[in-house]
Formats: sequence, C-alpha cells, structure tokens
Amino acid sequence: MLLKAEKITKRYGGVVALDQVDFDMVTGEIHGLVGVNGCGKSTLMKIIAGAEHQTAGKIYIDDVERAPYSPAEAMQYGIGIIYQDLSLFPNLSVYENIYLSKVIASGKKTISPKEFKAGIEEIVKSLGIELDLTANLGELPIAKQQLVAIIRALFNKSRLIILDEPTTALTGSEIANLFKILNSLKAQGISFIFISHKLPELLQVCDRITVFKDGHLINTFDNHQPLQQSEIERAMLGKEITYKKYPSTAGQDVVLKVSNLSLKNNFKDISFSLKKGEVLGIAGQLGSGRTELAMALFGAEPAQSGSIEVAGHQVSCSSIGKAVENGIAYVPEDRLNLGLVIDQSIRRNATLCSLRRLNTFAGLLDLNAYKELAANLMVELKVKFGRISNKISSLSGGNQQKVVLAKWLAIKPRILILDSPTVGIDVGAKSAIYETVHAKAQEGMAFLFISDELPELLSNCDRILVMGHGRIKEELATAGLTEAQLQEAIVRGGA
Amino acid sequence: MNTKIFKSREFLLFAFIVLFSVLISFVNPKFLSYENFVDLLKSYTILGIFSLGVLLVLLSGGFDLSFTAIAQVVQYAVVYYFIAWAIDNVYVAIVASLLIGAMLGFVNGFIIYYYRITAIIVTIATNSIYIGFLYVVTNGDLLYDIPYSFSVLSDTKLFTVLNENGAEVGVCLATVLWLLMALGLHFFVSRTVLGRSIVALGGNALSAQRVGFNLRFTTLFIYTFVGSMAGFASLIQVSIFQSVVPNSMVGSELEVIAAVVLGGASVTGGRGTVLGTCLGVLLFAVLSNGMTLMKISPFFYEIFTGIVILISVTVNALQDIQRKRSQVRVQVEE
Repeated sequence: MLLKAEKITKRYGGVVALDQVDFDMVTGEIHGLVGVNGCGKSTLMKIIAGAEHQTAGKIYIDDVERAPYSPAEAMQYGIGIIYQDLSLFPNLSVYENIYLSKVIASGKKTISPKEFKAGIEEIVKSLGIELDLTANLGELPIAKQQLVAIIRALFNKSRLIILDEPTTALTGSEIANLFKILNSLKAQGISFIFISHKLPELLQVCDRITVFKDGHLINTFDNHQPLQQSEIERAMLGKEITYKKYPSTAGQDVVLKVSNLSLKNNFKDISFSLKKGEVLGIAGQLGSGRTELAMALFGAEPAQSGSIEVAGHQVSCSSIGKAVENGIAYVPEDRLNLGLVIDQSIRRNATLCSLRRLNTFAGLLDLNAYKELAANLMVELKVKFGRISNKISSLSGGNQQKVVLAKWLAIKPRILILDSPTVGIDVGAKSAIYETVHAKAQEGMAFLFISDELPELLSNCDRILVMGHGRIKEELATAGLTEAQLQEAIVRGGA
Repeated sequence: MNTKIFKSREFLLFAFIVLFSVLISFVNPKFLSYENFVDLLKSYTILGIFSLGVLLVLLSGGFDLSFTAIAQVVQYAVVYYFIAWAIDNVYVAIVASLLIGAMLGFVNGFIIYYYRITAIIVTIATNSIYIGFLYVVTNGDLLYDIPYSFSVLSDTKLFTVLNENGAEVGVCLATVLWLLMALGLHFFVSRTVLGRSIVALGGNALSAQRVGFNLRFTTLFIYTFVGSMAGFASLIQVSIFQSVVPNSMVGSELEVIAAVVLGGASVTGGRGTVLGTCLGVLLFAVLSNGMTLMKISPFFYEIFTGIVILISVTVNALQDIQRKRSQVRVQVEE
C-alpha cells in the first residue's frame, strides 16, 4: 500500500474538520476526491502533504507508520502537492522553477546551473511535450505552467502527486492533454489524488472516487464498473435532487439584444436576444467562452466590437458601473473570491449594491433603511443565519449564495447573469435558488443561466445556447430535449 | 541571443549613458575625460553602495526606507567613539560600521518577520526613530577632526595616470570596493541557493513558503544586509567629506530607490540585476553632473527622481495588464 490513513481526526478549536477518516492509495492509480466546500477533503490533503498535522490517527507510507511530518519530509517520502495556484515563481526560468525546491531541501549552498539539465530534459522528453526550459515561467500559458508543476513533482521523485482542482483554468483540449499525461504517468506507477468539483471529469479519468461530506468519508466508489454521476451526487448531497420542469415565463418584449459581439482571445460574433421574463441557458465546456461572454456583458472585460441593446436602446457596457446602470447584473461562479466580501457581515454583503440608494439627502447612509433592506432580503430569500451582523463566512455555501443573489436582486436589475449559481451547495438551497429565479422571472426579470449541470439547465431554461471555441454553436429549445442530446451538442461544440 | 542583449534593460541604460555623455561633452568637452569619470564614480560610490542593499531588499519583495537613518546613526557613533577613544584605524572602523549597521537592520527584519507588518511602514517608523534619537543625543552637533586613517578610502588611488598638470588621477579605493561588492552580490544572487531563494521569494511569497523556504532566516538576512551596506556607505561618506553632519544623507532614500528602479528592479519584487543597478546609479551620476554643467537648477533633479519612480512603477503595472490581456483564454474559431 502506497499510503494508508487510519482514523484521521482533525479539530480546529471546537470545530471537527475531519472525523475518523480512513483513506488509502495504491501504486499507479488516480483517485478522485469530491465534496462541497468545507467537507474536509482539503484538510485531509494538507495532512497527507505535511502542511497540517492531524489531531488523532495514523498515517502509513509504504506500510511504515510516519509521525506527523513537515512538507519537506513529505517530499522525501515521495509525496508532492500541486495547489490550485500552482505555487511556482513567475520571475524565474522554467528550469529553475523545477529544480529550486529540491536544491533547497538538499541543504546545498551554491548552485551549478548545468547540474540538473539532463535529468529534467529526460523527464520532459518522457512526457512527450515541448517545453522551453529557458523561458520565463510567467510568460507561459497556465496549462504549460501546470505541466511545469507536474515536472517539478516528478523531479522531486514524487510517487504520489496531489492535484487540487487542476482543471479550473484549462480549456477542453488542454484538459484532454492533461489527462493523457496523467494516464501515461499512472502506467509508470505514479499515483494521483485528483480533487475536483467536476464530476464528469472525475468519472472520465479516475480509478476510484471518494466522496466527503461534513468531515466524514461517505463512500469510495470503484470506477471500473460503470458509475453514474447521480450516484456520486447522492453521496455528496445526501439525497438526490428531483428536477421539475419550470414553465416558460418569457414575454414578447426583447430586453437584451446582442449583435456580433467580439473580444480577441475570448469570443467572436456573438448574437442572441433575451426576452422579458425569459431564462436563457448557456452551456458549453470550460474554455468555450461562456464565462468570458458574461464578463463582457457585465463590463468586467468589455467586448471590442459589436453592439448591446437593452430594452431597445443601444448601451455601452465598457465598465461594471455602466453595465449595472443599464440593468445588467452578474453572479459569479467563484462565490468566495468574487461574490462576497468574506470578512464582512451578512448585512453589509447583502446591501453592498444598494448603498447609493440608501443615501439620505445629506449624503449619509440612512441606517434604518439599510437595516430594513437587509432584513427584508433575508426573509425574501429565506436565508438561514444566526445574527445578521455575523460574518458572511459563518453561513453555509447555499446561504452565502442566497446572499449574493439578494445583493443584486435588491437593485432590481433587468437582466441577471448567473454563472454556475449552484456549484457546491446543498439540495435545499439549490431548489430555493431555482424558486427565486422563477419568481423573479414571473415579475419580468430576464436571466442568463450558465451551468455545467445539464439537468439544471433543462429544468430551468426555455432555450439553451451551446457555446464552443468562443462562438455560439447551436440554439436548442428545451422542450423535448434530453440530457444526452444536450451533452452531445456540448461535445460537438468543443472548446 | 544577440537581439536579446540589445533589448535588455542593461543595454538600454548603457546606450543612454553614452548618449548623454556625448551630449554633455558638446557643452563641456572636459566631461569625457578619465579624470571627470573617476570623480563622478567617486562621488556616486555612496549611492552605489546604498543601492546594493536596496536592490537585495527590492528583489525579495520587501522595502526599506530607513537605510539613510541607519547610515547617519552608524556614522555618528563610529566617528564619535573613534575620536573619543583615539582609535585611528580605518579597518576596525569598517568592521564596526558593518556590525552596527547590521544590528540596526536586524531590528527592522525582526519586526517585519515576527509581527508580519508591512516593511514600508516598519522602516518609515524606524527611520523616524533612528534619526530622532540621533538628533536628541547629539543636539545636531557636527563632528570634525575625523581620524586621519579614514581618508585612505577616498584618497588611495588605483589605476592611476597623470593628467596634463602632472597630478595623479585614478579610481579611488572606495569605488573599487563598491564594484567588488557589486561583483560579490552578483555572484550571491545568481549562484547561491540563498540568493536564488530571495529572488524567488520576491516572485511569489506564498509559493516560497510552500516550497519550504526558511522565511525567518531570509527576512532577517535581507534587512541585516541592507543595514550593513548602509553602515559601510556612511563610512565612505565621512571619508570623502571629512565631517559628520547628522542630517547630511537624510532625504536621499528616494534617490537611491529611483536609481535601483531605473536599473530595472521592480518595486513589487522578484526583478532586478546587479549590473542594471550599477548602470542605473551611473546614469543618475551622468545626469546630475550634466545638469550641473548645464547650470540647470538642482531642484529639477528632485523632480526627475520622483518621475523616474513613477514611470518605472507605471511601466511595470502596464506590462502586467498587457500580459493579462494577451493571454489566450479561449481558442476562438475564426
């Protein structure tokens, strides 16, 4: 057994992050790890990588029990971790990025630049990739940087490599390439722990998939027998969601008309229209340009050419401020970093977009209106919270997402763009968000609904635009459309 | 390979130095003489030594605004006690100034590391404390009667030739020491594990921590180094000017930082070379000398210093934006 973790418990003060978890890795496997944020999977990985120490429990590496160890010792045991941000040095050469950590660990004082060249070139060659070792790392695309991180782990003689959300910044073809490399390394006896919230990817590449929930290991699935995504979802969320088909509330008036919108390296010739009260889905692989399109409509990364009409008037979305003035709002996929001010209170987060409307004539904040607004929003969206002055970080993911939604609903936008609004939240919060969306659509608000979850798109949307390679490839009506047909269209679209 | 050299910051600086030198020599033909050149080097040796310390701290992603204050304190302490105890030995003085400078720098590093406070704030505060302390203790009194041996640093001439008046002209010992130290620092940042670690730290501090750097040792080392460079520079200063004025170097921090930044170092860390820094200092020297020869008010020099810092920072920021923009996020089908 390459690695065996026995009854691992980790407490932070009174909070139990991991509760008696058993986990193991064999040589030459890819082991997927899933669970919503805060389920304990990251904590376990940090313990295995030596970045954190368990409160109780034992870890065996190659059947030898190891006392809690440091990251440097983990490296000696052959364990490497590649964090989501890759932890590389953009100002150093690729070559130096690969060998520096090993040299530091070796305790040597000086560097002879040619020393590692042959060894590294051999690894690069064995992976069958092109890589300029003299290039400055910061100038490489993210996919290449990730390969550098993998090569660094291999150069450090890692036999177990932990990958934390390795595909978030990659396009479809880059992901395929990464999987090819992981599989060839697996054949050479390297093992991977693959953390991701994208179930289709895990099902595609993993030998086993382990599900975490609330600090417990729920189940480890063997992916050699055909495994259904719904089985894993059920384990992750506690129960399976039943999707109901919402009836269309689309009116006649066009509220958003986009014509030939283009932005270099992002998307090209995007044209579509959105009606009042309509929920329009956007599907497509990562790197298809769907998030980039949303960012352009919201003015965060404005388009270079093309036109945007809101309610019949041509508008400019050259900044977020202008987009919001035109009634366009955006709920981002990355809730923690982009959606919330995580260290501030629930009330402050909920009222963040409304501050200008809460001014008294003297230009001061009308505190009564401010508190009332926040309280009303909490009721309207059925947010479950302790005190409204508590930090937003004290809420569950689902309730946090409701607050993000509330923040924008408070200013009554004409068009609300939702980017993967239900990623990593529990079933109850999911359906509450769907209900809110349709209640608002009933009142005439129009939605662009971007999602990876096909059943969600099918149940919520009237039409779905399928994007690929920065373009709209197809437009599908959801009436009579099956999940399989939609999946096929997305694959056809490519990325 | 060849085009890479021509595009480098170092080449650009060199070209500017040559260009300005030629321009100035039209106004004053004496400018392009060996004598003027070594004089220029001598008067900019102090700035040059300061800049080595500042380069290292900028490379690491840190900052230091207290080094002139450290220099003032070291200078006063060393000269005062060497006079009082009648020790006339410049070599002992060098060791003493390096040590006292190192101690004062260590205090910066200690506060920055253990209390995780932004370096710029810490060093603004210690700058104020060191200088204030010096004024209180000394009442701002000047010191003369500098120990005789101190002048070895500025009066010893190497690589001498005779000028038209038959006087010996040569590079002073202080300048040679500066250039030797520059060479040493170059070796340190390019070939030693600690040096490369400092550069890497400036590139991404979180990564550095995760890769297993000894952050404590590195931080303490960096600020101690800046302190000792400041101490040494102060000794050169007293050797050249033959007096100790408690506020003579105060306010020149920005000039040093501007020279280092002009030399290609980034104020956000991780970028910069020793050669670039030395050329940055030299360009500053040529410009200020040229301004004097052309009778331009020295106050313009201050404006110039500020502009250099602003432009360098802006250019770096623009480059980052440009890089972000040009990144291919979606392979768009044409």
